[in-house]
Amino acid sequence: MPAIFKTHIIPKIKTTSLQATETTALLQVLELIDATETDVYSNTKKSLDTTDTTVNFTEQLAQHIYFHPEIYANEQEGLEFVASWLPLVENGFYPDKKSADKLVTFLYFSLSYFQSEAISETLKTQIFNVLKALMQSKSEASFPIARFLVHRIFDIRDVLSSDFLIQHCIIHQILNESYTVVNADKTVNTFPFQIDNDFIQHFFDNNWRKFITEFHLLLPVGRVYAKGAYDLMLPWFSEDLADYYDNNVELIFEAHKAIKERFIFVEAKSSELLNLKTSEDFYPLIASLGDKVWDAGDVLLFHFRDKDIPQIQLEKSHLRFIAWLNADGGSNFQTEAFKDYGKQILTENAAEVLPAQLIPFWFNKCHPKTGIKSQTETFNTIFTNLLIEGRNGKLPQMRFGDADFEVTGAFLIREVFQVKDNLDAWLQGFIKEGISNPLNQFLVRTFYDAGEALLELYTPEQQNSLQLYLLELAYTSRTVEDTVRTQNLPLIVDALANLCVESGNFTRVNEIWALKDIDTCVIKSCNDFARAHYINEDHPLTLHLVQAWFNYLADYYYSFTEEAIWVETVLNTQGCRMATYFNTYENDISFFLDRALNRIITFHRKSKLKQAENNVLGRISEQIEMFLIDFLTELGENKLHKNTVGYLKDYNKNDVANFNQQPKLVTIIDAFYDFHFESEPQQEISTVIEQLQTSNIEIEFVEINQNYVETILQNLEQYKDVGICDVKLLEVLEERKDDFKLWLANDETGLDARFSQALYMTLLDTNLAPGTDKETYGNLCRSLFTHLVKGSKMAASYAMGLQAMAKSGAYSEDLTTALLEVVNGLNA
Amino acid sequence: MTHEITPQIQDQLNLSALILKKNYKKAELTTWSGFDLENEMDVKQAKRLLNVFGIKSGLHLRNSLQRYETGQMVSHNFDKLALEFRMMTTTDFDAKYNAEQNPRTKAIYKMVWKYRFILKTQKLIGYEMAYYVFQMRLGHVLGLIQTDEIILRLEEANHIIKSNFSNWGEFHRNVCLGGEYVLGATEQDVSKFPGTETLWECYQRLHIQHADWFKEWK
Repeated sequence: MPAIFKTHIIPKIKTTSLQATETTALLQVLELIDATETDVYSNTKKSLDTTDTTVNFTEQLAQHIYFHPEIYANEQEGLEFVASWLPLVENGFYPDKKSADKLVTFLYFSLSYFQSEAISETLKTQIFNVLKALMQSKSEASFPIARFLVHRIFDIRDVLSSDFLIQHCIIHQILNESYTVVNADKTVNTFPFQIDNDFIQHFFDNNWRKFITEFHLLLPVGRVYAKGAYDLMLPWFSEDLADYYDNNVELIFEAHKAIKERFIFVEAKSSELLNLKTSEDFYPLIASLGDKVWDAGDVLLFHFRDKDIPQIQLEKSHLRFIAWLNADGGSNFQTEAFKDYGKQILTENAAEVLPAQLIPFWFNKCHPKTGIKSQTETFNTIFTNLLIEGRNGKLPQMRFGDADFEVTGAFLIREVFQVKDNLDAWLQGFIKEGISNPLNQFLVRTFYDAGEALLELYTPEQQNSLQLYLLELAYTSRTVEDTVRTQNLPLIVDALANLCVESGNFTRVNEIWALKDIDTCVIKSCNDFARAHYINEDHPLTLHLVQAWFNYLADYYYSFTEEAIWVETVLNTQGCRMATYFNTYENDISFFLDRALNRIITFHRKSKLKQAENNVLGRISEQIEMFLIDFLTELGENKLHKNTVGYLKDYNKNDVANFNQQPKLVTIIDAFYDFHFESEPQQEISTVIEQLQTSNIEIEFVEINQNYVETILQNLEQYKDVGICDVKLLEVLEERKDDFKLWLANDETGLDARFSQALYMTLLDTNLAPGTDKETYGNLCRSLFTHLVKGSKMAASYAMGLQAMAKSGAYSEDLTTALLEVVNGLNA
Repeated sequence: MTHEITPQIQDQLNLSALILKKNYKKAELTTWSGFDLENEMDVKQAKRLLNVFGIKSGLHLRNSLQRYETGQMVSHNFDKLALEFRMMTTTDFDAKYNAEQNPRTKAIYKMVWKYRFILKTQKLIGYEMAYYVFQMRLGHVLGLIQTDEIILRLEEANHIIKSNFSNWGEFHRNVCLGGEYVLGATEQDVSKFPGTETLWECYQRLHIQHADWFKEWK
């Protein structure tokens, strides 16, 4: 039995005034405190009617036991007295309101002594156990105790007491379940410890603001690495509290302040408070971070946010974060807040939840010209992971304007980069860094994504700058690691192919085509690109293009068909098209075709000669044959020059290299040959001579006509071989040279030029020089030449040529004089 | 796969020996490219040369070869000038020569005048084809062209050269003249940068080092 009871209480108990039920209760109380040896017990026991077992611990009896203010006069005794209640309160014998109030008054008074070392730990534990039991009791004692504890804890004027109570409440798990309020009508209400209207009413005079203010004051108080008020109140946080914050934004900012202070002083995160949420899943404390300008602390708070907060509530905060990084000339980069927490906002999230505004931020921070090296390295790494890695060349999806936003190349060009009139200079800034710089990789993706829209977004000059930029970048990929190269090069080629659609600039086409040598991954796309340009059936053919085809035939051949592979397509498909093109070509094209066929056949021959030792080379000859079949079938017979046809025919007579494997081709060439050599009236030299002999008759009646002029021309061209210099024929012309000149001027078959040339050759022939036996013929030629050429546009060049020949010293004096006379005649 | 260099191929490769030596003094003439592919400095030098010629890829290389083969690089211009000069009298030429201010153009005039008849058919084909072979060897350093293609093109180049010239001396003279035409006068010049040699100097040295190579015109 506790000494206090023995000395102070039991002697005072008056059993006489007790009811029978009370007596039973008293007996139990006495048994509980182990006072069965006392007189009171034995007397009571005797007086008790054992049949009645009802127990009624009345207010009166309670006061007998508990209400002894005189004991509280001595703090030591008072505390021991309270401690001795334990067995009673554990068995449901609680103090009445009066005793409880007295107890609270005593505790207020003796709190400092209570926490002093004079009180043993056992005693303290006992007392707190009593308090706990009282708190949980459904009695009038519960609420006064609860209020006492809450008030003392929130009263940080006496920090030591507050902390003493907090620590013990935590140890003994007081204040974490419920308290009971007995109303005036004796009804009993039990409330959980939850911050709600009832709580505020009971403990803070129904004044929320008062509570919040004290709460914020209390938060940063406590010891480092030890539990404190926050931990005690942790179970109290409620949706009501979140609602209240939600309706009072200015209090949220104070809460932020308090939480930051708590982090500084106690080094604790307060994440539960920070992540308070309303019943509608709204996180007022986190969402409101977006409503103010950030400091380093806010980065910290944001970092401690719950990971399931809906994206929409974080949107503004992300923008605030960017603003914070940009503030003060970017000096916040150096803070620990960024290194330890801010960076993680960028590294832990996927691009999908971050705002698109990060892209311009990145370009500003890491621009090759203005970026600070330490920062660019960090940011480039971050943004490479965020925006480039693992996306297969696609641009990321991000957040923009409160919604998911598919970032597109066109959007970036139009809205983000907004380079209007200095694109060239702008791109130049990036070129030097090469493709290894993530900004360039991102730009490549931008241009790749924009695709054909590039043509609308940029002016032709800008497109050109862009092409040069991309080409240069492509070559820088030679020195970077394989993954970067293989990721970016195809995108570059694709973007270039989109940019370079206008046909005609084959220098640029070749530059793009040449990129195939950088890496195998772009061989196909480059070749396809070149093929699309060199064989573009939507565009009309040009002579240059046809020339290019057969120039590249060489590459195709020498490289064993590895290079210029589109030449194969030309050979397989373009024969008819080329023929149609030349058929409709207005001017005489035979010279061009002669050169072209000559070149084609040169390679046919090479291929044929190599056929035995190399199958690949041999097949080229077959492709050429097929091409020629297509081409010559369609081509008009008059388009080829006679010499070309002759050449083709002769080629076929060759032993090794010929077309005999393709009978069809041979037939076609024969058809050409027949057209030029058989159907046209052919005059062999013998028939000419015959004609010449017959033409002697009645020469004065000869009219100047095609036949006659050609006869003379043939004589002029062939007199050396034939040995006949028909002076008479020329004399006729000499007499009627004005008519003849007029006739030649009207002739459209080119006889004019041939005639002049033939005459010119006779002038230089030493056999016709003055003093020889054919002098007459020579003189006639000179005279006729002077007359015909004089005044024509060729006169000057003939004169120059003759003069040079005359002065070369190769001719006799007579001929030199004669030639100079002609020159004078022409120049006169 | 790299082919072996047979005596015949070596003979054809030698067509570019002079140009190769001129451009890279340490060149090893008995290899495909003349450059040591294992040696970083050698490869760097080859890259530098390719850069000078504007060759960035196989396509650039082949286009360049095409230009040399068709005479667009040197012969066309030479021939145009020679044709003009062939029509001129000595007095005309003197007038034109004296009217020209640029000493380099003057030197070219002088040279073309001298060879206007002699090189009427050959032009500067020897020089161009030597470059043709040289650039193939250069391109091989970076893998822009493989040896089987080189062999195929060498045959053609060899054919063109052999049908235009009748011995090594004549061919090499053409190469030297081409160099003179393109690069300007190549007289001994003590003020020049040390370590560089004129084509004529390379020519002399080459004939001392590999005398037996240039005797037989196969």
